[in-house]
Amino acid sequence: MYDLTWTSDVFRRQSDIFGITQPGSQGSPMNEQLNISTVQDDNGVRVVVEGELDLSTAPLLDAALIATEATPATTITLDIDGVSFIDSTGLRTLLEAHARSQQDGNRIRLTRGSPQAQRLFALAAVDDVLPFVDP
Amino acid sequence: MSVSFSIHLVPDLTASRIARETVRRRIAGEVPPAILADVMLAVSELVTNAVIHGSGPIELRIETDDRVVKGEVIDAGGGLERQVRAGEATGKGLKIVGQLAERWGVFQGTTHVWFEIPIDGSSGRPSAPALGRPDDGDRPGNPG
Repeated sequence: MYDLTWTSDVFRRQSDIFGITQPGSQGSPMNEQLNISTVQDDNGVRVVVEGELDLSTAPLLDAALIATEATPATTITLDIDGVSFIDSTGLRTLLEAHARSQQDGNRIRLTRGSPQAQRLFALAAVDDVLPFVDP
Repeated sequence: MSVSFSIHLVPDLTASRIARETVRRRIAGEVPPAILADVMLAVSELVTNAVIHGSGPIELRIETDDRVVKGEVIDAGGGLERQVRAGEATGKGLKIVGQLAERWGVFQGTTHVWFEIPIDGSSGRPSAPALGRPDDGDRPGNPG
């Protein structure tokens, strides 16, 4: 279980990569636009994502998912219901995670997300492609 | 009521978020929530494209009237015209814009993309991009 500290650490690494500064910084993980909590549940690992998934935040989710995929978790449930906005850059992260999953035990499932996310999935014609959990 | 504004954005990772939040703040009272969400998505896609593929500062212009929300995203890049003309505008972001907009296009010779999303929600079919905006006499200056 990583919780918010994890988000902060990932963000710091991304900050280094992109040469951006983290406002407020130390000990205050709530100033990111995306919060990622990774929690154990009965069936494996649940990655709970909250905030906006776009060019600035998609690398955070990508890093968190790759780290989770490296664990022996039998299922990885990506809970995106708390994602208030997603665009095609965020969607690409989900599609790439699904592609990796298909090569590695098919462990990833997604929740269906907000109405805005579902609209994007429909527009991008991926609503039959992404591995959603049953409603 | 109508709203018209223009903002300049530093082309960094936060540009699309700042653009979305500005759009929300300025037109949330003018259009239905579903239309606002579509405009924010179109703006996010175009500003992201400008950050990744364009160069220089990014200008976002938004104009609403009783019928449509018009948006334009402009940067100093070499232009998308050739790709559009060759039918190569296959980027996911532009495809999304093409589906959200009733009409959209690219001013010739520039990286200057425009779209129109009707406020009554009557869009929703994919639309092919136009080069320039041939039926609009008061369009912004065409540097191409």
